Amino acid sequence: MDDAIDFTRLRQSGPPEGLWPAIAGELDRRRNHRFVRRVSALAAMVTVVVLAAVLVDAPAPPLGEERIASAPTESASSGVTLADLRAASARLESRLSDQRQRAVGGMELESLLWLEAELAWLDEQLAEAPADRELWRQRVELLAELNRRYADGDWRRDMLLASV
Amino acid sequence: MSLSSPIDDLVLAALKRRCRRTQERVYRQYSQPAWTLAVRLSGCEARAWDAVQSAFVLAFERVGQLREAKQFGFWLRRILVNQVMDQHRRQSSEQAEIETAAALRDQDSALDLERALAALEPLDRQVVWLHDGEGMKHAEIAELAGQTVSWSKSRLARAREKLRKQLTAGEVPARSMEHG
Repeated sequence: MDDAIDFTRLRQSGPPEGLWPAIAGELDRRRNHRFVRRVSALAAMVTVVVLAAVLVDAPAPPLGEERIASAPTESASSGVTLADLRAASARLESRLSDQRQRAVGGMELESLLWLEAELAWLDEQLAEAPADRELWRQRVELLAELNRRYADGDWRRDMLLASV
Repeated sequence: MSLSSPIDDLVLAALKRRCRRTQERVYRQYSQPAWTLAVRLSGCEARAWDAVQSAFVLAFERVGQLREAKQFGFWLRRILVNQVMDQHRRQSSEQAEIETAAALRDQDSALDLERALAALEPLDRQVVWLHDGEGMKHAEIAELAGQTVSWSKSRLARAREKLRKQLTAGEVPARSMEHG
């Protein structure tokens, strides 16, 4: 350090008066910017959550049940047993009980009432022949159709589609 | 007061809460050494202003990353030196600095030294000030500049030689000391 330059004799100057206000102003500007960014992010998040809630509310297409319903009952090779049909019927019935709570548009109401009457008639038949696979297959098919109609007739879904 | 002076844990906690009064108090505490360092490193008050402003803003914004209150001064110094070096890198890529030759010669040796320091190449000035003025080690300087220790040593030797030559010759070109 012997070779070092002696800087101690240099005069010490203080910072200009306006420096702190400039720093405070920049800190304020960044804070405001951060606030705006957070509000925007929050608004975007709320929009995503609302959209997700509306979309999740719409039922998934009953693919498994449709396959069961369309399987020929006579053919043993189809692999669809009476137990499968009853299980599919129970699943669809459970989904249908949720669907029945939904608001339905006037256009769908008439066909839904007809299908509901059809279901009541099928249930009467099944009460007399509970092991009839063909009747169970028809019931599954009817329940799948009812689920589809209720979903399509939901006026909230119509409004959502119309707004896109 | 120097940049190595510590702050206490309560002050650090208040800074983390972004308390404006504490920020101003800490600024008042460190502004003098920070300003001196920035002016010596950049050789220009306008650039020093920018560097000090950015350094304090960054320090107050990122103080949440700092764990030990006693490290605040060293941490601030590091941020400030980085700001000056970044400025220099940006300016090097944009355009060569405009230097004005001083018509006046001053007999005051302190002013001569100041002018000689300001007349050095930015990297020479930064290395000689950080080493001889701030007492930093070559390893620290090399790390800040993103260079090797031997680079720092050779820069220092060259800077000292230039300074001495200029002071002996008494022909010190003054760099513009812009304001604002």
